[in-house]
Amino acid sequence: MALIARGERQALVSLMTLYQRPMVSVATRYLGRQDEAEEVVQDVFVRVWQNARLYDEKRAKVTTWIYRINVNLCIDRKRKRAFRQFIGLEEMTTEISDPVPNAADHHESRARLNEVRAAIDKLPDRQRMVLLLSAVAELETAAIADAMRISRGAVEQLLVRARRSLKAMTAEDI
Amino acid sequence: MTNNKPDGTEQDEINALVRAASGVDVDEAKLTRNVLTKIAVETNGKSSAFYGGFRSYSPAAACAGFAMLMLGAGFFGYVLGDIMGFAGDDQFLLLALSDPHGLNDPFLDPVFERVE
Repeated sequence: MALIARGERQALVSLMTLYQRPMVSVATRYLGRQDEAEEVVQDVFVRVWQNARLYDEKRAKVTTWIYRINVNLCIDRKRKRAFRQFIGLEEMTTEISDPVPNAADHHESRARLNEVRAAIDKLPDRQRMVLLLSAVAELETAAIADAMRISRGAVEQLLVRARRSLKAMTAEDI
Repeated sequence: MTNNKPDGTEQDEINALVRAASGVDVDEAKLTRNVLTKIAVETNGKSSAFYGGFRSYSPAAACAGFAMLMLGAGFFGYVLGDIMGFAGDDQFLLLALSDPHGLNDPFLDPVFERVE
């Protein structure tokens, strides 16, 4: 982060290589649209570049800091979209992206994954974000709490509810 | 639904399923290129101090600019009216109410007639 603060673009590229894929995955599943998710993630790294000098390693890990920006921008984007839909500038339908089959699809049937995607999309916003940060970004409870500015207890509660709902919504055993 | 699995195993399985369901095909090179372009634009934009500072806040800046313009125009009109002595002349009020003849209009509603 110190290198980024000094204006080393290569350091930013290295950081992006590490984080952009899981961040796009989290944002896509949260927003329901990959094009918007990619824009959000681009903005996250632009913010990181602009504010690298403000980063304080005593207050949060780099991962937590970056994901906090990601969470905030995702929430902002969702609010903007809701406002645009409210005033009629955007249609209510959300494009749920159907990812190109990857290695994981070989193990789970495509239909099963679509079912899980639909179930994730039905979760309340906070439950969905907590679940994605835990499962996809692989953040610990403390880091999720820090990124979402909620207590650890709240994170654990949201995770339990999210998993329970997901299990109830998907037909097969997990 | 089975509840006979240990919590840890079940959590791991749910996490793995969520991870698999959330997989997306990302063009990382394109994403990186876009970010670097945005940063370059941002860096160049800051070289013009005034525009660069306001660029990120364009809607707020536009509203603030419009409000300042209106305030300026109002103040200018007030000062000009005071200097030229027509600040209390209601001819202008009538003119503003789309009556080109002002108080000299013979068909003027008596309500608007000047009381001398």
